[in-house]
Amino acid sequence: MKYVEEFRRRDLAQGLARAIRAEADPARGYNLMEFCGGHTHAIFRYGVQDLMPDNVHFVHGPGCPVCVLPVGRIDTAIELAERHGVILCTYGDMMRVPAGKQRSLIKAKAAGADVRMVYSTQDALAIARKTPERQVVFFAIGFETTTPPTALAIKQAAAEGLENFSVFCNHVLTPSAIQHILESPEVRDMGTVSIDGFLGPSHVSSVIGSRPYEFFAEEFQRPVVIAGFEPLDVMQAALMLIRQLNEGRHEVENQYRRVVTPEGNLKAQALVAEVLELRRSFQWRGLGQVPYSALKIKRAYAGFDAELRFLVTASERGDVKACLCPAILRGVKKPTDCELFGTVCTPESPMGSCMVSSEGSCAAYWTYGRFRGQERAA
Amino acid sequence: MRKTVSIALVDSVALGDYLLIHVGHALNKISAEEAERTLALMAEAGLIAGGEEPPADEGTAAA
Repeated sequence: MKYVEEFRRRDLAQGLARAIRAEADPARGYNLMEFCGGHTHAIFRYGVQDLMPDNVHFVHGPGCPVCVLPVGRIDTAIELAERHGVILCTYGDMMRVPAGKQRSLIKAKAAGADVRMVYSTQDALAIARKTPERQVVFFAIGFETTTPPTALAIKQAAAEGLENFSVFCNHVLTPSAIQHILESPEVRDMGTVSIDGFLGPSHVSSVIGSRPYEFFAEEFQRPVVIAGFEPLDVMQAALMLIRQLNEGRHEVENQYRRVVTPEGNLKAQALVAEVLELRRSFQWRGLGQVPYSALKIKRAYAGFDAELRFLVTASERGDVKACLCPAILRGVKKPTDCELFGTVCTPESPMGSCMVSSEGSCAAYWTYGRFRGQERAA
Repeated sequence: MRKTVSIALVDSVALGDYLLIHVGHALNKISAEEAERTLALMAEAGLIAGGEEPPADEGTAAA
């Protein structure tokens, strides 16, 4: 595929690896947090960590949309399908995420609930048009990339008078999560992780642009380099971060210029602003309550808000006790530090959310890196 | 592979444009010029770091 294969070229990877080795100062370390699960996946799949010198580390952040959704919200989705009898439409990677009482959407479906996997909000709208006698709820999750399609679907439903369609809104915001990680006292309680710089998300930045990162590059004095999702993008961004750190700079730079502009996609932003607004606070799996970190449906479109249309109970259920997802999402622990990893928790039967999605750190470790330590030891 | 995607979120899409697609929607156009410039910068970084050939201790690095 054009604009994909070129950014996986071996010769360029070797050149970038040489440049990184030449420029990384052996007298110091470089802890680079990739916020986004897409980067975590690329780093493992293409062995990018192995191309880095020993003092350059990738710290995996919380940017996996499936991983940060708390158990209680999945319980509510199951409740919508089972108690209210709606057709619950969801993106595929939510199906296996563990909910309370060892349940999940896929188990609810097996037990008879009408849960349907969709590829797009457009598919959910199509189901609503085709079955006017049933209530159809779209289980909306994700960061700034999945938010514009949700806002678009609500506007379409309003325009068409599609009264059997509504949205269970769980959209979250990237900048507030990054800020929370940097400020949170729990990070100190869980252990210390020093983060020297950030790889900024690819697709999220294509929507919000590079400007939103300028505040915390300045505030926290950490460089941010927005990076594409291919392995060469990650390597070039690492090189740009290393150069900034060597020169004592903390600026927002954009490696992913072929897609990301300073202002982002203004049309998508305007649509989101018209339909959705900030929640005062939202619970994240692993991070707890994060102020102003999520979106809800505006009053003008309240008729399409599933939380208002159906009486649902707010569940505050906690996660599995021994699961280290909270620390892993903050970059404080590695998946291999968890007792459950690879024993009772695998992608086939995940205990924690980081094992569910291919973007989760645990799933990436399991798929591509679980024998890494053993090989080194041998 | 053929898939239907929505271009409602991007203005003035023309035939032959490359688009970034996410959950069935185009989020942005991909700039051919910027892609070329990025690849050129990557190649340049490798050249500055010295040599076309990887050093002997490099092993089989890239996949």
